[in-house]
Amino acid sequence: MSDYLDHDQYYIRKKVLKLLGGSFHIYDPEDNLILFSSQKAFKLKEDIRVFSDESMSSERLVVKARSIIDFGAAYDVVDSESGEKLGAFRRKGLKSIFKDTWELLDNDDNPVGKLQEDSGCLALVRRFGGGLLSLIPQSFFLEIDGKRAVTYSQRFNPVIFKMDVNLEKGARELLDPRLALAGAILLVVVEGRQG
Amino acid sequence: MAELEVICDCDHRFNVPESLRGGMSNCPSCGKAAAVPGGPEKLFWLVLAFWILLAMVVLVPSAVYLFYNGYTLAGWGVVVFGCLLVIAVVLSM
Repeated sequence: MSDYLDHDQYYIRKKVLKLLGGSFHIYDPEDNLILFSSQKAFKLKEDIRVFSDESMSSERLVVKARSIIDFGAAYDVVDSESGEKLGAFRRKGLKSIFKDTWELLDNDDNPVGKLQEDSGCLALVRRFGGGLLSLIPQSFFLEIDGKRAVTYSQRFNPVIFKMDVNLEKGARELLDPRLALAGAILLVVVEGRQG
Repeated sequence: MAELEVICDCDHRFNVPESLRGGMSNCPSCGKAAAVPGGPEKLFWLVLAFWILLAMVVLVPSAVYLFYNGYTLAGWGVVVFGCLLVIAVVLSM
């Protein structure tokens, strides 16, 4: 397995003030860039290519939507080096209106985990509170078999989108760390776009 | 349950559940992800083509009418809107 997966903590920084499209950087705990992605504007079907650095010469992961409609869409996660599909995430469209909720699927599309926003009350306040309340940072948990495997915590910063990814103790026995990163990527790109 | 046939780059054929339509599935032979055919794209393009056609049917006569009656600025506004619509569609492909 690649060395970029050796860490239990990552940090994502998304460029907010990009004129067209979007991009994000993923760093290890020592602030070394380990992954980078840039998305085209006006892309109908999400196809997120993640590279080892900004030169975009070495592709690491692909997160690809199955359909062009975001509402309830599933996203397959493929390791670019091995060409193997690792699993998929499916957005629960209706539930996400009130609280962002995703399902982690295995290769046969069976649900194996759940990725969701921390608190239902806070989710409602963020959505319908308006003004400064919408700036309350979001946190998400990825649970496998009822055990918390990964925590995604947004840092409070109205200008730059920053998110910490923490793999809990024993998380590697529950899921592939590439899927943990793919979950973070979807939160940044898909949920980030929806505000 | 309905299944879809997938042909991998290694020429191996296998079946996958309908839910994977438009997605990826690992080939049992080579282990690499193969694209599952289908997806709602065809319907989407048909609907989009219909709306573009409808927009053109409305926009072109409007622009001609505006230019003909001396409303040059409004006419150019309609032309620019039509061009932006086409650019947005092309970029999204």
